[in-house]
Amino acid sequence: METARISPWQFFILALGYLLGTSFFFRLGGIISISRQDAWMTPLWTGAVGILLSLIWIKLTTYYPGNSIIQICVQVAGKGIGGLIALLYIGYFVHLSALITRNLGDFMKINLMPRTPITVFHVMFLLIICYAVTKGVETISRSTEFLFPIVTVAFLFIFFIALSEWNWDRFQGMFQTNIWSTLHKNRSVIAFPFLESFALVMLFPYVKSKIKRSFILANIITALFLSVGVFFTIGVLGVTRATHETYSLFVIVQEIHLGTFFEHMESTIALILLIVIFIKLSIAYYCAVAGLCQLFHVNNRSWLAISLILLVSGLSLGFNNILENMTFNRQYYFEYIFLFAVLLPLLLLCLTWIKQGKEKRKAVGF
Amino acid sequence: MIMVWIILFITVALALSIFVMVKQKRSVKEIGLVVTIVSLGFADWISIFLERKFNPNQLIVNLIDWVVSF
Repeated sequence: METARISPWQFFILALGYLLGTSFFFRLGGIISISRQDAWMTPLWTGAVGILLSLIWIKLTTYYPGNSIIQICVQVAGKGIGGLIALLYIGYFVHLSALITRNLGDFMKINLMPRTPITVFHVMFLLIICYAVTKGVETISRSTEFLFPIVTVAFLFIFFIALSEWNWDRFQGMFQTNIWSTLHKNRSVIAFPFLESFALVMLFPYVKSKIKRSFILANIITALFLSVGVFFTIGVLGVTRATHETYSLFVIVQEIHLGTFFEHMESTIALILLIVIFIKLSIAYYCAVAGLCQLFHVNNRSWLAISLILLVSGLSLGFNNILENMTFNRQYYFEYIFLFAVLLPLLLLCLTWIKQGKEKRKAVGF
Repeated sequence: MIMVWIILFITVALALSIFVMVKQKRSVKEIGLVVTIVSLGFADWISIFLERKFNPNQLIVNLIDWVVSF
């Protein structure tokens, strides 16, 4: 296992970039389409549920300090079944990498370069990610620490400039949605971004201290910022336009004009998206590669990282179009991730308690 | 035609990689793992070129639908 160390601040930035970055681009329209004018409340309650569910894996990791989820699986359930569960997790990380890569490809193809084959974006970006992953988690966290302020400043700039389009009338009809009726439809927001943060458990062993605090704080800030983002999108674009656009934030930026000086800001925001996708994909890809290394006791990540490019780029072509991607995300993603982020950690936690109970009884002399 | 070039590229790249890994005295386990992953990726790409795409998302959807139907 890698001997890297990252500070609580670096981990916090990493978690925030992982959670908030892509959801700001891909989630806003979806949330607004379900809960309409009350959509700003959705990230708050889904965030609360996400944090509550994340307590399961936080509790699990406290029993095995310094171990990643792959090592915990093998320790708790043995080499056979534990290895199989670990392999499932690695499969999930590979699939997650493919999904993130596809999100990038869809965005670039739809908005910026429609005549370029989508695979070109996938392979070129995966090559960069592969390089980052071979350099290790310290490099990823340092580059995130360096890049995240740029992303924040860009978002703040967009926020203040686009406020000129703000109209309070767009909130008319607020507090009319029945939260209970939209509860089921909004479950995909719990999955992406909140339950997806499960991948960060793979980085827990590298964090020097204050893991829980940094992780939960990142989740809370994500929920708050996502809520502000949704509120802002409704106020600037309105519910109807926000629900009809695939990338509502991109549309907001497209409409920013400050005289003839600030125009076509969308290419700048595309660069910002590349940065946030870099943060998220490098973590997911790192988890897949590190998982393989830990399970099969391989010391060097380079060859595994290179070989995974072929698999991830192939898997990322699974969806025929963006609609399939959105349907999968909306209807099945929560159930899919629930297995990895809740059911399996719960099973491992129960097995740990049973093991501890047995050891206690042995120690007492029964 | 693209498929032929891709097959050729992957075969040559894999052969070169194995050669370099053997030269670097990597463990058999590591070489085996790399070959397995490349083979999986290769199979996936061939399925795409033959228009019988392996879709993991469809597999997951079918599985969830099957579980929910109980």
